[in-house]
Amino acid sequence: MAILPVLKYPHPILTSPSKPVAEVNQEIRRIVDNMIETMYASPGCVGLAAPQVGCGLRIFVMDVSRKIGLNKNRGLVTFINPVIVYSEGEKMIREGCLSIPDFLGNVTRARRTIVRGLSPEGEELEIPSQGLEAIAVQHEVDHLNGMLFIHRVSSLATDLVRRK
Amino acid sequence: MRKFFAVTAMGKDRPGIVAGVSKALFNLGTNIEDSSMTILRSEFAMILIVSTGQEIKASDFENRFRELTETLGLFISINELPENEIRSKKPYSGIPYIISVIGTDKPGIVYRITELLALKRVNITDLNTKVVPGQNGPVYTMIIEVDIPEHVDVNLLEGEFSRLEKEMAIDINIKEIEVFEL
Repeated sequence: MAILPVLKYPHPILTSPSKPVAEVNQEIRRIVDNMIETMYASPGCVGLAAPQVGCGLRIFVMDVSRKIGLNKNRGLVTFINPVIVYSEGEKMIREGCLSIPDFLGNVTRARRTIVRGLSPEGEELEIPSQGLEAIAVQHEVDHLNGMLFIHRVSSLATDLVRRK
Repeated sequence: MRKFFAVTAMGKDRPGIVAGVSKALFNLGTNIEDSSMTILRSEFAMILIVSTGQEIKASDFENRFRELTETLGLFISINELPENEIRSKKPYSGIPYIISVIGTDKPGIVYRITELLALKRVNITDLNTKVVPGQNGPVYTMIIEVDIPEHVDVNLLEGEFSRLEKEMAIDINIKEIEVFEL
């Protein structure tokens, strides 16, 4: 396993849609393992998408228990070819992103999501999420579509703040 | 060594202010780093941070802006940023909170609340107020974003806000802005 360098905006991979994984094999599992190690090596980071480490494939990993504890959610989750099949509610949250280190943004996200995709073993997965986990799902799926939180803020003046 | 300047411009709003100011800055060979502008009623204000690799002084800006101040009726001021302030993003730090205030319009709402914050060394990072029509007269609304230093007890602050709520018959709400790292 290896900790991978995290790409920073405006790297073109970050703003391009990622390609679906054709076959979940050993190579894909190796990428997943490296992404997990990179996420855990980054302080406070609870989610990482493949394009952030220079791989244009539809994969993300998340572990919200790093922030709010294990009792409220499921811990480490890996999704390959994820699709958000349901979302409801609305919540404003201030997001930070490893790929945009200097800024935080106020973004409106759905409160609850259901995401469908494949596990690293190639099995079908369907996970309902709420709270911070639902926000992580939306942030990471955005990455796979070439979207960053700066594309979601409605006003540069009030919704984008410099990190201290 | 790049030099940094803060440029502020104020005046009656009209088309051409931003174009005029940015043209003068371009002709001076400066680069606009950060900028923000706002309009209240008929009044326009903007603040810009500009940088340059050239050896220029604040007085060079004044010469360049002289025509603008006359034709557009702008007040412009220039300050060179000391070296130690150039890269530091914010002089104060703390945990971000949002404070919202609503109540019937009366003098002293902004003063009493911000005085309390200043006493606690809480830095205001954003403040917007608006008077909106209500059923029983005008209603005053204010949204403040603050950075509360770690050593300040937020419960104590809330206690003082509730005293102020009763005294002034207003509602004050304070909540932490959740920051989520992804």
